[in-house]
Amino acid sequence: MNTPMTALPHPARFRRLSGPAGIGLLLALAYGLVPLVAGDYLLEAILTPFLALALAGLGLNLLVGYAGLLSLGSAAFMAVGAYAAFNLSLRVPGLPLPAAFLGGGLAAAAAGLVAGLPALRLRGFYLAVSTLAAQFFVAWALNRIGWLSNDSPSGVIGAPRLVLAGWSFEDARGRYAVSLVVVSLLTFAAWRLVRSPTGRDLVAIRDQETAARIVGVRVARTKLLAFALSSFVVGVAGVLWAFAYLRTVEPAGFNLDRSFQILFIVIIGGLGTLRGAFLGAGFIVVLPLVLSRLGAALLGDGFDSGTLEMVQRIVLGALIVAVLIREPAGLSALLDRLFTRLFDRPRRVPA
Amino acid sequence: MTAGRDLLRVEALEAVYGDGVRALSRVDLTVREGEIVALAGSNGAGKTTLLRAVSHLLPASGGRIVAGRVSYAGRDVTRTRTDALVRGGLVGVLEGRHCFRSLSVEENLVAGGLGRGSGRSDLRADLQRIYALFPRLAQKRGLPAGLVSGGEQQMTAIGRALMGRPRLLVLDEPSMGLAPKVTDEIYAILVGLNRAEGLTLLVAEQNVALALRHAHRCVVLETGRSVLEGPARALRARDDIRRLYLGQGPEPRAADGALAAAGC
Amino acid sequence: MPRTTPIRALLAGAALLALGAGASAAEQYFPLQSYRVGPYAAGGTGFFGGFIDYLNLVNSRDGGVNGVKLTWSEGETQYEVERGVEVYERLKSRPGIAAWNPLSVGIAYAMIDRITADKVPLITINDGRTDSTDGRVFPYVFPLLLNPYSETSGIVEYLAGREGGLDRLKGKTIAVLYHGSPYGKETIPIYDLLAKRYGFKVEQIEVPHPGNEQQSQWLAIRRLKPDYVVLRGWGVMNPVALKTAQKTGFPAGRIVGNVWSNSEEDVIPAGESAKGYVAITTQASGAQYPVIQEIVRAVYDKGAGNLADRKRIGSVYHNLGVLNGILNVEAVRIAQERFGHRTLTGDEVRWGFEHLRLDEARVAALGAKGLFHSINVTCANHEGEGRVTFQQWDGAKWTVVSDWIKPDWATLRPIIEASSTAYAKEHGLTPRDCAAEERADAQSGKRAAADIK
Repeated sequence: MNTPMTALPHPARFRRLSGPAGIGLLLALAYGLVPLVAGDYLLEAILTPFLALALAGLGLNLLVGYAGLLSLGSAAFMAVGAYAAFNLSLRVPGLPLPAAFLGGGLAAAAAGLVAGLPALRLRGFYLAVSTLAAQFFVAWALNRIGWLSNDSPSGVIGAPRLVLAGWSFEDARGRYAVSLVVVSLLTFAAWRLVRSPTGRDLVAIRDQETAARIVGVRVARTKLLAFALSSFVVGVAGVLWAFAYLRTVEPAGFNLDRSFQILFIVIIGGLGTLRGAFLGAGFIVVLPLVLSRLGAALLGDGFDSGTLEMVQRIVLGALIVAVLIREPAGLSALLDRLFTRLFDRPRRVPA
Repeated sequence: MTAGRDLLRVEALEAVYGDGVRALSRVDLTVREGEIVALAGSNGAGKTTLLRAVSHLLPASGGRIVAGRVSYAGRDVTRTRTDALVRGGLVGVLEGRHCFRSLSVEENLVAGGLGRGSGRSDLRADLQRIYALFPRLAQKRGLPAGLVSGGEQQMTAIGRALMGRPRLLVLDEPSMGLAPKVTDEIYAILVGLNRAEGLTLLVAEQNVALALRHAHRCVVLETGRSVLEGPARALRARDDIRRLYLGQGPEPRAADGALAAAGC
Repeated sequence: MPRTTPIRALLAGAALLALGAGASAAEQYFPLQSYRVGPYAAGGTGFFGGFIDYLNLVNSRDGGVNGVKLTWSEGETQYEVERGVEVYERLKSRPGIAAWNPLSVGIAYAMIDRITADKVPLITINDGRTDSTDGRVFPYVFPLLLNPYSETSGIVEYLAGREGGLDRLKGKTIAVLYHGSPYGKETIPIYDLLAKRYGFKVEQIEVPHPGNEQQSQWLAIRRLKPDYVVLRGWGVMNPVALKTAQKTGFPAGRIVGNVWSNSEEDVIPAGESAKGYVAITTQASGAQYPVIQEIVRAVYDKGAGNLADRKRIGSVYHNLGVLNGILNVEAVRIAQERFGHRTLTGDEVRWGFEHLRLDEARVAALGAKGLFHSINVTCANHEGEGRVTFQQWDGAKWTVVSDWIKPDWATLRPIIEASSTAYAKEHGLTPRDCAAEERADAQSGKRAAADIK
């Protein structure tokens, strides 16, 4: 039995795109060219949040795309990561930044493990609804337990400074660099994971749970592992979001809307692909900004920003529908098709 | 075929689904080492439930064992998890050729080996063995399992189970929905493995003629009970069986007789 | 070919952007993180509408501030923090930024480090962190007019006035119905403190967000039989509270709303049951004040008004926006007297805010007599001793029913300083020495004046 979210099987011919050359080029761009030429606005207001949400999408994709377990609790795991990292760096003096990130991820993984327990009995939309409990519980706890936000009267707390071994990463370039390094490391780890036996177990459970069971996959353990690993990545994304981008942590920023946003990133980008998270985040995070800048440029600064926003929403909604009709498996598959058409025209899939 | 000692023993097994829909009532079944046992019966007779109970898959499908016991290789395995059974050599193939459709054929096979806990060199050797048994799979090894033909999917599912180096292979309706030629090919391979390596087989099969042709013994289930048991050769020779199940006599009685639709 | 259209659009956009970047020198720019769509659009359109209307008035009536034109542009935030941050990062490098006015606690918090590094003032009128009142620790943050603690004190003073003096509060019972959020809970210790000091009994009851079901809370209130109920609400919680109060038989006239429960949007949905409800405000509503009338004549009658619906002129949020405009413009004017009639830097405008002293005479000269009382910002006090008044809803409009009331700042100051000191410690900051700064300031001010002569 498959959830309706299962990705279509993709032919093995897109290796070119995600091959070593493509990845190398991308990394060279991200590490070399972008910091050299990009301005503060691009680095800090577009690329840093893009990286954080792409990472959250990547984490959720491990769960939804690879293991086929639908979750609406991503924002809660982001919040757990961010608040855990905040409290660690607040209460453990001299704790180095990477340890705070790691601690945030581990706390989120633990929360994910607990939130994943219903997955042992539920699946599909029923599971999604049960993960809402995590969402509401975390919001409730953050609101209720003042200690978590250092008894700040407004519940909003300032993130610690990005300083590592005496080096400050406080400027736009530094924030981008921190995000990029964290995201590259975790993406590499995720890439290793999905190619490992554990990764195959995830796909096996998604494709055919009973069959997975009958070939000896420890289904319960693997499902919980999927929740833990996914939540770890999502939790670290939450730390990035709070520490590197917003510089504050507040419960309202991790509400159900954020969970849906991350789920949309994964669906539009392409379920069960690592690239999908990045493509989806580009679509959901960057495209609206491009649209609104374009609109402002065409209509002038003085144009009513409310109307502009509405127009932009309509355009974005139409684009989402267009993409999903054209390619239900998301941007990732659309890109494959484009490349196949460009470079692969005469060849056929080996039959 | 020389029958060894009992490998699988099901005693007075009772199973229910959900709030108490009874699926099995006091079913007995014995599979001896090196034997091919066919399990026959109509739809809803309890074949799949029995096989699920043997592989400890009932909890995952909303059912549970309420009485009786299952023992495998002399040990009570009524409460043993599926993955432990697989490592002990009791491996199943589900009805309906359930492959992991977005994994390649080869990845499907490897999954079977990993479930058993095979190392890298074991995996490589076992893969070669499966490709030798099913040459068609060798050709399609790189394709997603969801894109190969039905017969090839069934071969992939069986090959995946064989990658677990089973002592007892439990198959649920391996012929379902396949062309007779493909079915024959699959049975030939299974019987060959039985002869050459002593692989024990428990097969649920609706195609009675097929089952009687290949099995050593046959057990008939009817509304969750075992109603008939005996050597395949003897059953084949019996007139009532010939008439009722093999279509070599007058039409069976109306459908109210469960035996009428049951196959053995 | 259709494909060329987006490219052409891009080129046109780039050209326009290039034009926009080449702004002329004598301009002071207000970047606006407005919210005109989303759940808080009613507040956003009113507030930013009023702000823009006032800037428009100053430009059209006076030609700007001493010849320096006021400019602004908007970025839509939908009240979401990450959008607010994006707008900040996008607009922060424009020339001549005077101040930021987000009117959102979440966005303001995310900006504190940023504006401190960029040396531009952040105005959080009637909202923001209470402890940012302490300008020694938060040099660039200005929670003008009213912080939550002062609001609490102001409400208690008002109730005392209704009873006939602070000593008459003894033995009275006040129920506080607060929104189940950090915002709602912020004043709990202050109510407890004032209850102990004045001998009244306080019962604080939480309404979980969003607050569209309050039956049990109001039944508890009925059992308690309090003399007053203070509504510290937010959004839909407010009209629901008023309706449920009517159902359980608690008179609206004994319910007092806080500063986020005081707008037309809070009472109109409650219909009849809101009649008689009283709420605190820092700025009286109504269009009868001279400055509002000027805006009607000089801006709206020329078709340049920002509100789509002229009926909203003089509404609570619109008047707050106008008042915010007055405070910003006057800060620029005061800073110009010190630094010259030119485009000022953010730091210079900050100096202006820190010397924003508008007494009643000046307020009257600005055409705002009755709209608000006065303000007196100093280096150490960034709130500026704003006074409050109370308005009653008659079913169609708000009417002022009290004098301008002074919160008990002296009592609140030590609590604020304890919090700001903790913040300074957490962030490794050394508080400014305000006295020394003011001395140095006075001297260099004299020198500057001598230079001008």
